[in-house]
Amino acid sequence: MSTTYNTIERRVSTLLNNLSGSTASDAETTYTTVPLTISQYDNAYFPPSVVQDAIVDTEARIVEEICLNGNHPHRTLFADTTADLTSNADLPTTGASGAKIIGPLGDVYDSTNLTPLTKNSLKMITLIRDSENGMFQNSYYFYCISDRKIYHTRSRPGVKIAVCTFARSTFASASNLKTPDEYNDLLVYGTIATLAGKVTSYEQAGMYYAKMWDAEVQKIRNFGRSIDPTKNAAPSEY
Amino acid sequence: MPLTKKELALRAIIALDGMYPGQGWLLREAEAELAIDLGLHDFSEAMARDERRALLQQDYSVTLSSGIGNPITATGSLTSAADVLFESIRWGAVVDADGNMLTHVEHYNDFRRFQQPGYKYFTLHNQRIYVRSAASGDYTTDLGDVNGPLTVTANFIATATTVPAELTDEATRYVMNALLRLPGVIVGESVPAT
Repeated sequence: MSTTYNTIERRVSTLLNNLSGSTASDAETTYTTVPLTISQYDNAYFPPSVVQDAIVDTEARIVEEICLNGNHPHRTLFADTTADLTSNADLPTTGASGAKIIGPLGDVYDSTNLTPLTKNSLKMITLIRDSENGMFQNSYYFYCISDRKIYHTRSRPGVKIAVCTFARSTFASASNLKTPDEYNDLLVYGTIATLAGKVTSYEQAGMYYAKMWDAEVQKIRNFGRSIDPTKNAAPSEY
Repeated sequence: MPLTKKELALRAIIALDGMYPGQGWLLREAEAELAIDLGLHDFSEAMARDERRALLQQDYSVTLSSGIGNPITATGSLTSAADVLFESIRWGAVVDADGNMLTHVEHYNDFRRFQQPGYKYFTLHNQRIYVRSAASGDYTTDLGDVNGPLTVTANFIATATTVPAELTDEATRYVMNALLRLPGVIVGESVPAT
């Protein structure tokens, strides 16, 4: 969040031997140049735009991994809500900001008074909404998601759903990353794994960083999930 | 502060959730609302037979036409609703416009027969109150001998908002019992009276 895209670009480019400078002094000068341009690049495999595209794509993949894990606290960093949804509305694919929804849907709550709704059966919601001869007079906060629609017992404007959304960044050297700083290494690993794996002479580097990427991504995927000791038993020979 | 329908429903399911945890009682809010009518009807009937019946009694003004009055459409002096518990009229009081307390006769066929002179009588029949005197001994003559409107003191069918504060717990217990009788819940169990 407080690291710039340029920092990731120069780390990636250094590890891929992209940057010019045959002495430590020259390399340092190149490394600290902001923004890096084609003048500092010296590797035809990975020109600046290729690296920069890979960085923003990798950032999007990290955000996706965070948002896909409903237990992950960093989902809050990408929090958004849907627009107001009346009962029988199609589930939206974008949040109120217009960005694409990623990961599981969060709480459903009344658009007006922000009271959270509770899941109930579609049949019960239908009965309450029909309220034959006014048999239901109380107000209810129930919802049900069925197929691609949401049904609920609230009147207009309806409900909102808490969601995570993300729109792919535009690379800007001086701008801050959208991911927290602790993901900087992961962003470097993922970017290199994406780039290096496609060039034969970098194949080993690609495999190495792909492993690093996988290991770090597993941490995100497993966050908040308890370990069942019966499913992780030691091998029988021990 | 009187109960609300929602409050009574919530009181019932929260109490049941405490008694029978883990059975999703807190999600049965809508079922509880429907059980209120069932439970409060049972409650009202029980109270009419109870020594505390006066807590649910009120006066109804019933007009007479040829010795017959309709209490079912009469509105109560406290609730302003047509909510009389018909069978409870026998345990209340029926007074004519001249201040005479009418005597209850259990069966209509007895009511039509000769009655002791000097008194006025009523019976419940055909969803109506039938009244008469015993001046002449002839029913068709005596039925016109009672002046309306009648003031009928009877029990009303309670709603959430008309349950007296003193009986809130009792009413809640009846709603809980009505919920317990719904299909899919604990059949045969009932909430004990305190």
